[in-house]
Amino acid sequence: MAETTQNSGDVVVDKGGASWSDLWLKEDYWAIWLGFILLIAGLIIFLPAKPKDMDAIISKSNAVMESEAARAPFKTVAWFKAQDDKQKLRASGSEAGKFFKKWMAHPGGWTTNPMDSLMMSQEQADALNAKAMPKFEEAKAKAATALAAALEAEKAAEAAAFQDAGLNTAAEEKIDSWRKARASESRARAKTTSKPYNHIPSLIVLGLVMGLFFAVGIKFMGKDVGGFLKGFSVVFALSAVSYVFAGQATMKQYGVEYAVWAIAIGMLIANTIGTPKWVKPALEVEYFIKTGLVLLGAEVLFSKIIAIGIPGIFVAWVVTPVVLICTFIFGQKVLKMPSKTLNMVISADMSVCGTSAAIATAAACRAKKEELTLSIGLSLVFTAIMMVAMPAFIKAVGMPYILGGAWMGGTIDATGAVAAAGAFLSEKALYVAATIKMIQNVLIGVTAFGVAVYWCAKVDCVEGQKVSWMEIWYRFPKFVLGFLGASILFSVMDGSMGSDAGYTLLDHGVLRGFTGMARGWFFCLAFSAIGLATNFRELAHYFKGGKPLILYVCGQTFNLILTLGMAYVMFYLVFPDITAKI
Amino acid sequence: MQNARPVARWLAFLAGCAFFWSLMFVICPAINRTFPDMQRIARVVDENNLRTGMFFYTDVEVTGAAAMHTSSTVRFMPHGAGRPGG
Repeated sequence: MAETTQNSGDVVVDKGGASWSDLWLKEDYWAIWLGFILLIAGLIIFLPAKPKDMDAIISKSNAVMESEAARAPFKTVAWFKAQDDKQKLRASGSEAGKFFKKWMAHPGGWTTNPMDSLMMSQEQADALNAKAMPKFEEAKAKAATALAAALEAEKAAEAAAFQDAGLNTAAEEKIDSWRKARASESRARAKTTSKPYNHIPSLIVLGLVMGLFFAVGIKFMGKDVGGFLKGFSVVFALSAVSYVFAGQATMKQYGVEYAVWAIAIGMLIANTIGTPKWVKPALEVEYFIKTGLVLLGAEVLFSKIIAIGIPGIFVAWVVTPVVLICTFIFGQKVLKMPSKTLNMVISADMSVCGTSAAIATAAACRAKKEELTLSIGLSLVFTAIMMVAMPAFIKAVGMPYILGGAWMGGTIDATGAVAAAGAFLSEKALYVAATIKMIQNVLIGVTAFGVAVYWCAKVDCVEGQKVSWMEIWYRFPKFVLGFLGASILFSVMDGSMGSDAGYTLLDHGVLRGFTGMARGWFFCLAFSAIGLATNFRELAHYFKGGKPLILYVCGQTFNLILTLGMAYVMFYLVFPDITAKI
Repeated sequence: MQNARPVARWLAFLAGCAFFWSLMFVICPAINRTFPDMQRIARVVDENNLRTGMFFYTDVEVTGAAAMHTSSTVRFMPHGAGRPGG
């Protein structure tokens, strides 16, 4: 690992070096080992947990979709039903999936009583289900009527050999109405299936297991294991409380997630009653964050970038790097931001995908915890505004919803907010917005790697100094290799399995059913530790002159203009066929 | 604040807690009541059981359905009889 030292002439020089012992002494490597232990365990558990008749259902569904695509000029009822059959296949529904869901679940939602997020009795669950039942029955009847109308309209279009444009359009509209009614039915059904739960025992067990899991690395790194475990109990408890706060109905709507609560509550404690000294050995921010990032790497599946074809690649993978680089240069040359790391973290946060990009970039360029906190705060405020303002603007000006969806997917930071803004417009807008965001999410792998290399080769060296490849290697944050390795491994597996089996076994098995939950907890631990170690005054120092805010506003304005232009060109001028069929 | 008396520090802590409470139950609901678009977003969020602050696609359930739908559209794009220009 590289070390920065100061010689007698007050000139900062870099002294690189690496030894085999780094493999068990440095936290970057421990992040890789721990991350891969979980990923391999996930593969061993979930790959054999294939849903019954998975291969047969996938083959049959694909055959139906292919024949229906060749039969009619629009997506027929059978086409959608075949897609729904595939969508139900999830390894996370297996016994193993249910086990992890029970033992790794974070506290759930609540409205007025926070205890509702931790416990629900059988009586409460029954009462909720009974309350939701009439709405479900109504939605079910509407969906059945809409299906009958869709089938009738499709039959009429077929009787005219699909040559009557009017009948085709009428059938498409009826099928659209059925899809909407079906989605409402599905949402209403979900509210009738409440089950009793008590998260308190599972949280205690989870806290103990996670503490011991991280303590292994702490022991090898030569740190105080006892002190770490003692302090970890507080860090974990704070994380659990953050999840409780994030589950409150109004906070869910505003996007004030666990990361924000963990930092806010931690900072409140640190700056008022003070973080107890015995908690400090557990404030291993980088250790938690890097382990979470290795797990996140597995969720960066490169096969996802072709989900919506070439238009999606252009909107998410051409605009985003252009905005990122231009915003960084603008911050350096025009705003003259004193901290390059803060400049880069805000640029990545704003242009790529919000908090996840900020975490990955901050770790890759070794930004300070205050810089990450500031960046996440800016993202939270602008996400909440854009989530409401953008769909309202799109409706007001009569912009086509697919264009609007692509625009919001490429510009709003958090995926949850993108989904909400898309759903505000229509189901199609939601699908386009969420898919574009997903493609953009995949870009964080490339971004983190690029930033790490750029920082090692250009930023972290004396002006005019030529840096050798070995020196770059010494300085390179090694956990990035774990992040990329996990991404490549899971992308190759996803590609070789095929998109449908990958959806079932990896996306909705290993990732969403196991490692994604662990990753969420690890990030929450990291943010709790950041909060507990952050001083208000230091944070204010980074905001001096409002430059971070100016950078974010200017960068986001450029992002909005460029993304809208690119989405229009791609979805309406170059590939109108894809747009028409979505 | 670290040099302040313990009582002052605890009071500051309680004031912070009160601010969080008011954010959840006073400030944000008041914004919702003032701006109709906020109410509409609140309804959408509730209906779809979304967590708008979730940052990665794997954290948001609906992205699975979205990706499946859009990739199926590209993979099995309808091209049967009656297609304009076909």
